[in-house]
Amino acid sequence: MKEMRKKIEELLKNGEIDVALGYRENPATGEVKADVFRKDETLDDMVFDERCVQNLVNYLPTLVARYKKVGIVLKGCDGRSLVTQLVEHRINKSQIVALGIGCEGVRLDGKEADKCGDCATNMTPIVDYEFGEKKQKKDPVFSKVKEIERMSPAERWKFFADYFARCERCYACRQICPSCYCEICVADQQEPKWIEPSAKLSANTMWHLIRAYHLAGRCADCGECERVCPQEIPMRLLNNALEKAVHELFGVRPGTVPEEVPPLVVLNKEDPDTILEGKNE
Amino acid sequence: MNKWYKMKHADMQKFVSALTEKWEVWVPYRIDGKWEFGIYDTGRDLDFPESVIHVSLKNLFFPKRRPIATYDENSKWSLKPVEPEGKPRIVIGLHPCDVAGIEYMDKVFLQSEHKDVMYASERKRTVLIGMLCSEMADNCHCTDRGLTPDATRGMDAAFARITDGYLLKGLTDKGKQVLRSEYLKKVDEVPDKKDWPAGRYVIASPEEFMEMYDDKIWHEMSDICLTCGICTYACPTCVCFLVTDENFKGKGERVTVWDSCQLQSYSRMAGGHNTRKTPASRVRNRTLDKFAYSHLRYGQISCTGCGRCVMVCPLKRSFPQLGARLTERIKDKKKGKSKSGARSKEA
Amino acid sequence: MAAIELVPKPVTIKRIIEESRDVKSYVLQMSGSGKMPARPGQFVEVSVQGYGEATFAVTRISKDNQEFNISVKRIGHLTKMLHRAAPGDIIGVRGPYGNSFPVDEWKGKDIVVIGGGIGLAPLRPVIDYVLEHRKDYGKLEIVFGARAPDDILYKEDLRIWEDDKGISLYKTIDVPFEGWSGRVGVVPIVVKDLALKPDGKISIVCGPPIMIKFTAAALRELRWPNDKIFTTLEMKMQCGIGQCGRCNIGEKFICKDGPVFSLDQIPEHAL
Repeated sequence: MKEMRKKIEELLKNGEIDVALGYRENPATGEVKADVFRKDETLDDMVFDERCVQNLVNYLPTLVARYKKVGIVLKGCDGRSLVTQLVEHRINKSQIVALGIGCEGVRLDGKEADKCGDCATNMTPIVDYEFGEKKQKKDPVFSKVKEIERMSPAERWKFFADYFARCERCYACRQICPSCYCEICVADQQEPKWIEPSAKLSANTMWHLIRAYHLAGRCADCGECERVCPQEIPMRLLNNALEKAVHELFGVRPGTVPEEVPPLVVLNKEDPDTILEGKNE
Repeated sequence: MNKWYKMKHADMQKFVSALTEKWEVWVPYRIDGKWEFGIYDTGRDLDFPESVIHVSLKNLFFPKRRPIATYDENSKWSLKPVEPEGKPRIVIGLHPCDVAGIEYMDKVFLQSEHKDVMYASERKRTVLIGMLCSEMADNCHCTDRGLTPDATRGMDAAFARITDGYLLKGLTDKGKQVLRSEYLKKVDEVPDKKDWPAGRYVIASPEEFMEMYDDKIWHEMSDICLTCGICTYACPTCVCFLVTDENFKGKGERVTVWDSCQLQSYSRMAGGHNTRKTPASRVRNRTLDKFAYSHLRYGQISCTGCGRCVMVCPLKRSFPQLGARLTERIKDKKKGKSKSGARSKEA
Repeated sequence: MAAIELVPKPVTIKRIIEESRDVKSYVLQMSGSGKMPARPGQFVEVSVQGYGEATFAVTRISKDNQEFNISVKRIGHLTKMLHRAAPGDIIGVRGPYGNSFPVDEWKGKDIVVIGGGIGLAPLRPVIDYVLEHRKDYGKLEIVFGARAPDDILYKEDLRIWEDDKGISLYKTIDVPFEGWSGRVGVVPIVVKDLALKPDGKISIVCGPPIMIKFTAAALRELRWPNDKIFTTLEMKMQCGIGQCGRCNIGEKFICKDGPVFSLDQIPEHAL
């Protein structure tokens, strides 16, 4: 951490970056939040530890629009979601300096965040300066998804319907997701109106399923949607189910390989689906 | 009945159960640690929180999704208005900030050239039995919004918890009638008066807020706001809605649905033009609406100090905190004029 | 119990007029003894069952208030459904809502009507009114701009106004077009070229937001004071009765305090 802070100070000082996006600790409350660090300040309150849960990539588009060059502190999962942003040309790599830090896992509600269990890479795949320890990749277990898969369809429907019924359609999940950036969200489209605006089970179910499908193969499981949900809907379960499917079908873990286009965005003759050969009756 | 009456703790349940014979009775329930109003099932344990109930009463008077007309999808025109219905009901355990929220909704829906008759009917069928707060919760700041946690204004009857039961008092004819019960004994006791703390989220005047329209602070504030809609849904005075038709298996309903000025879709017009496209413009609209526009429109700012927006905020950035921060900026701008008063706690 | 104001009443489409490539006008007949006592500048909420409702300016009112017109440009899902409707179809309507042009206060003055595209629609009742009460008003000047000849609406009215010696009509299209021998140039430029003087005059402006903004600027350049420039802000409205919240400009609601404003009544950013 010390080295990283020094590096950022140096980058700011010699003008290689205009601002740095990192985590700031409020010494009075011990709270850690995303913040922008500038040249004219000491970085004493910049921290990186298990409290740094937020995905900073969501703040990048605003900052790169305002500044020429932005430094960003990246955990493994955040780095993976950055890959999606770069591949989809939302952010230009030339505008950012990636400061990767070997993440030891983050904590949520007093325990290790669930997403850390199946972490694909503790170090960001996009990295200009590397700090801390890089760990070996391990294969995902998807234990919670498997639990859901063992349920009967009726049980599974009840499990999710109970949660979906609670949704207030505040769209916090959409607003915090770096990969949810459509100019007009499918939920807001009037013609055709895919999803009714009222918060009722049928419309809420549509929203959650469509949201998850649109992220299939793109979601790097940063877990922000689930973290911010005021109704505590387990959205990561849906994301992970699709992540698991993508992993099984294409052997891909989203965002782990720089410049790799998400599998559902490309047509490839080697795809396991037979649709291209016309074998689907 | 100008005096307080006493009821034993154990009798409260019997009293409320008896009410359910004639009334639909709503009481607070604790679900997963969160307080929310629900219809009372006879015999169920009764308890009341010391302070604010997490989910506001807004939904009881102005539901999230409210069918206003029905139609047959297969016809070209068969729209029929939905008639308001429902038996008389009593809400027990609301607080002064809830009353302030209802008073604001009254201004929007009743003091209008086109009175909302469905809202009016929900109001008419409801007797409000309020509870005096015995403490202020972490995010409560009604004392900074001109309210007192143990005031009884706007209630039909009020009650306060004391060590060995409750003290109750009828305030209107409706309320007095409801309190006519064998479980009540006349006493000389009165609820304790307290000195309530203030100064958590002090804000500037509506006029001062109006002068901030072009300030660059909106861009800074929007950076820390997701512009999701949850604070507006939680807010007891945010009553924006959209009107839409929903079809299901041949049956159609025209409904009003809660909408939020924080969402991009809110101000997007047919054809795509959006007058509040940037997060900054949306945060500004909500902030000024709460602290200034509402006052200019109805003579009452639409923040009741209940703190629910703080409780639900996904980023734990509180809306009143933004208001306080803005107030700091207003003070900075006029530096020299006034010494800083109470500072916000977290800003 | 009276029904909630938000529930519309049925009206019959009596006649449909194809105005331009994407605008149709509808003559709507109230059912039974229903009336639509709309004053110039007021608007209605029009419903197609199953598709919701939207705001439209009343563009003509019959003397007995039993018939009125709206003009509909096809841009969204509701307007698409309206364009598919046929005479005899029933749609819903509620209103009239909003304030109106203070035509009575303008007596004795020259009236300058400046419309851009579909923006002429809410202004036509003012022209109708002035023509009906001719002796109460001075000269009537009309500046009307469209993107292209195909976008010109109210062709029949324009012919009548053109022949009327008491009316000065200036028609223009935004960019040159084959076969168009008339005036070319956007409305704000035409207004400047005409050097319209403010003395003894009132101007009313409506069109796309950008056109209103630049026309207002042009008029100010010609020394028009803000209180003599009127516009109607037909935007963002949904409930029409000051409750749904979305059409606010500061503390004002367009649907309730407007849609007609003189420019001294609204902040600059509202344009």
